[in-house]
Amino acid sequence: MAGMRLGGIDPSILRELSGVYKPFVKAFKELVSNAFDADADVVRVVFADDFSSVTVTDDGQGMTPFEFRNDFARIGGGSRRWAGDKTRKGRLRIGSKGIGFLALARYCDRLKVESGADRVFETQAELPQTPTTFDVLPFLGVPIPQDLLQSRLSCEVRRNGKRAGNLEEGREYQWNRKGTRLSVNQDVGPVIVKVRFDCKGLAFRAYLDFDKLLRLADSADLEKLDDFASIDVFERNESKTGTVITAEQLKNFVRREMRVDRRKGFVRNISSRSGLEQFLWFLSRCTPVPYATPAENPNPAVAKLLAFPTQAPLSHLEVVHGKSPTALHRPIYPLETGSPVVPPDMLVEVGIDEDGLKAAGFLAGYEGIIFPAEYRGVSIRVRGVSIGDPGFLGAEALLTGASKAALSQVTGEVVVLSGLDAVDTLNPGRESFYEESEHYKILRRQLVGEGERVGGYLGRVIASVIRRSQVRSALADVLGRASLRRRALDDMSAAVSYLIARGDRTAGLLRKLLKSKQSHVNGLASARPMELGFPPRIGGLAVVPSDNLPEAAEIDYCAEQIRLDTSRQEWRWSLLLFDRTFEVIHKKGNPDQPIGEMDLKSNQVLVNWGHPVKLQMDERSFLRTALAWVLAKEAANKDSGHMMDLALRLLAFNSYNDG
Amino acid sequence: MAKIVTANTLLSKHVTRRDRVLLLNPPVEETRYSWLRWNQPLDLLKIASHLRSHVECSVELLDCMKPDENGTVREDWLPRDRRYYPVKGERYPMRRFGISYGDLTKQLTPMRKEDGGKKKPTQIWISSLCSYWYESVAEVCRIIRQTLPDTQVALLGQYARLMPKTAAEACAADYVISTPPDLSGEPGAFDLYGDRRPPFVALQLNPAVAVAEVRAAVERGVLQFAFFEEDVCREDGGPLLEIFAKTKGLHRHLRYHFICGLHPAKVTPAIAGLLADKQVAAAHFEEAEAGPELDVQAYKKVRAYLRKAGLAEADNRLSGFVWIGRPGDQLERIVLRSFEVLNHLEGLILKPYTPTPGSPGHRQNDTYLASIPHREWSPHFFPFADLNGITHGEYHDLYRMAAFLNEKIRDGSFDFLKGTLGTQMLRESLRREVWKLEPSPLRIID
Repeated sequence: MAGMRLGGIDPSILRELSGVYKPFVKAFKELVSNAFDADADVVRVVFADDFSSVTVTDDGQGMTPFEFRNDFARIGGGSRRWAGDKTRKGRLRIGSKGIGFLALARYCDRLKVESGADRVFETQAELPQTPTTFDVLPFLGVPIPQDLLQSRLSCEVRRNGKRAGNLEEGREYQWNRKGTRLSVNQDVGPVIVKVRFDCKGLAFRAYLDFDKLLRLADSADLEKLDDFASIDVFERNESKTGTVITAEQLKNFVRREMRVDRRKGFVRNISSRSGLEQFLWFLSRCTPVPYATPAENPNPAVAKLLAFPTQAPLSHLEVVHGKSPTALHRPIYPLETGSPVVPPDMLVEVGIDEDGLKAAGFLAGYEGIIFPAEYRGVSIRVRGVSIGDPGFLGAEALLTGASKAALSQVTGEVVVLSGLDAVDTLNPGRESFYEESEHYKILRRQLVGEGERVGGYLGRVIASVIRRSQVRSALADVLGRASLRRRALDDMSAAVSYLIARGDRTAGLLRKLLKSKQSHVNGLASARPMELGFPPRIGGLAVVPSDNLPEAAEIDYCAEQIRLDTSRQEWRWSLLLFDRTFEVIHKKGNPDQPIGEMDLKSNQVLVNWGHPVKLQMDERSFLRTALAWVLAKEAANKDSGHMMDLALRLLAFNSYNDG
Repeated sequence: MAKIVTANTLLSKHVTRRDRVLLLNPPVEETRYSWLRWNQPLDLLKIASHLRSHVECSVELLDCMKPDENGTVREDWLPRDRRYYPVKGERYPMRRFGISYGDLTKQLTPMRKEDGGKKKPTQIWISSLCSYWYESVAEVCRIIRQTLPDTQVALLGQYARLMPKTAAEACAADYVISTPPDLSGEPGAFDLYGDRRPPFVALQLNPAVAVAEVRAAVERGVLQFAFFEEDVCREDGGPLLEIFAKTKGLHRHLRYHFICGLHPAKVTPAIAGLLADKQVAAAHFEEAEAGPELDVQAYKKVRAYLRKAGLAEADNRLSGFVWIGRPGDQLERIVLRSFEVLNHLEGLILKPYTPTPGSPGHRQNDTYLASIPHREWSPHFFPFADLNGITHGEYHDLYRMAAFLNEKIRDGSFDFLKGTLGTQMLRESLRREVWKLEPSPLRIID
């Protein structure tokens, strides 16, 4: 195993750079992103039983030792710059900045990388003067064993400038016996040395000692950086390519987090689940895996909005701990099994095509709060990977009251098809956007609007959530009041039945009253009627009377109407007194008229809603009071003692309180 | 006011095969209901069979007392104004057992509209197990009148049978059945419970019917059976023995419960042999009296027969009732009888007394009973406490004493001795000496 020198970066800067990846899962995702960029289709993640290490195996194109040195383990060594925006398979690369290898530096002591690739490495050096000798090994930068050099290494020396032409090996330059150094016989001016190394059949095993690296930050000793990475190059036995990366000796705090048990009792949020479950959830959101497609999709309309041509994700990402492998799929709330159906007026299709930024997806509102809470917010995906956690692009700071509360009922997924993927638009770690990016400004304006007012797609969803809430609230108020009024009638009906069944003195009075056919109406009958039926509009929607509905009311937001089941007891004004049914008539009488009158001839009870007592109580209490008073007065037949006794008994009676 | 009719009149004149009859077992409002799990409307189930076979009309059952999926019957406090029932300075907490009136309304309301009203019952027959459980019957009548105004309501059961005039005045029913039909030969239509089978099946001593009921119940997975009879040993136990013989071996977990009507004086060696069988899950003996005293010889005889039948000395399946709340009660006598019963049986159950309306016991005290509200005829309110001088508080102490004695005698404190002589001696000692424990609020100790 030989040391390998890294570029001269201050270790304290390395430490700071590694700090952009947090928590552990966000750092870990870099290994999966690397596998994706290496054209892997299948990635397998295996945790040790005690979470002391984790290994990522992919079936990608692997790395030569030189690619490992120059691209993987070098700050700013991202291959996007020199190899283009696309991988060999034509995938759009995720990585860009070339600091991904540092991601795990704070989470494990050492990173082991095993790989190999059958590719040829070529490089050249332009020398201003003809050197007497030229050492090839330091120029390659990777310590290759002597026995592997002979057949794989070749060089070409040519003059640079006007008299360009190759020098002849043997006559104008020679190799030393080991084949590691060139000797040029005569000064030919500036030359170009081209070195070519065939890596076919070679593999390597390298170690990045993060523990040592971060300790150097304290001493700031650049020279010791030589020993930070070590590499061993050898001939491999099998032709299989791919890369195996093992994060060894995971830090104790990582192990503790992974071992955390699920919180006891009823839990709804991801943050209450076990450490491994949380890891799986977040990894599935920040890696390019396919969408979860449930067998019975509750929201096919949402699935349709996400079915646009975009870059193919990994075929299979599997995480293994113990004996149970878990295949990861990207969870989307509307596509979850058992997720409520998104009503058409709450589903907003997102389509952005402006100044090179193309994005598509959806925003969905729900009538209830979204659980798990981690589903709330809009998730933005660039190149298959979500950028940071779902959020509202700062809209949450602008909103107040009901609008802010409505955010907990909004979820969404926006996939950037082009744009927003340049190096200067994403922060290191791909956790957020650079706000000065023009594309980001367009995206934000389209999604949440501009200025202090939240608009855009999010504004539309919030408006539909609030509208529904207002309609439901208004309807609940109407139904609640009707129910309370009905309850008052039922209370009085049950009280009369109860008192008659008890068979005491009041039972006799009530029985006698209910056998009577006399009318005692005196003036209230001619008072103007009062309407206590259902209103023509509730929450701005038209009310359509219906009957035999399964629920008390049905709201049709698309048709802008509420179907109200008016055949229910709540909308009837019948009062059953033992075995006689009376109709309760509402009158807006004068304050000096009686609170109510009873017409036993026509089976009617008149209630005066203009009575001053109404000012002191709510509708239900007033109705109870008026009915108890009228019944007591009529039954007691001018005996004030009996009247008070009966009225109090009727008023004190509480019907069953179980709804 | 409801019309008072006999069952035969109602069946012959007012029910046709086109009728849809809903049989309803109403909830119960009571201060305590220890025998809740044994509430089963056997009369309704037998009437259902009668209606099917004789009238051929459609019959449904709505049992408000049926246990839920967890085997429990719902209990709720009564609303605030009726939460406590005051009797002579004592406040009795009041509860409603069975489904709530709100849930009952919810079950009845859809019947009005289902299938365009084709499933709406034309008649609802309401039963009551006791004559003093009338409040819930009245409320159920009202709910039916309100939710199904076109449906006729008929009352039957003990309230209608024993107090027909009162029931007709107090409940908004159409008919009050004062004379029930003879249903002794009718099997209970337990299939009305549908998929959710009842936890047990109530039986009467008609061997042909009972055996058929047991066989049918076992096929449906019901293995618990209880006898609803005033005298299960009648005819020297002939019918009982026949039922046992013909159901023996039907299922290894089949169990019988004797919860009433088991009189010690009438137990024969053959009946004792039956009681010793492991198929008997519980046997509660009625109080045996010889004149004014406890018939100790009857208990001794039972014990001897049981011993001969191979039943171990201590067997927690056996208990004995002791009456409390009778007009001539004396506290000392109740306590002594309790100890005496516990000398022969493993459990003591205090049985509060109230006379059945129309019975000799009721006629002897009719003037007194007429002077107190009907609701207070419930044995749990001890209606004769004024006559015998025992206070309500002292009756409650008796309950506590019984619980204490049962706890001491039936618990497993000495089970680690595994039935050795030492265990027996300790138990016997406890049985004899437990009443001497201090302190006690009982007057006999004072």
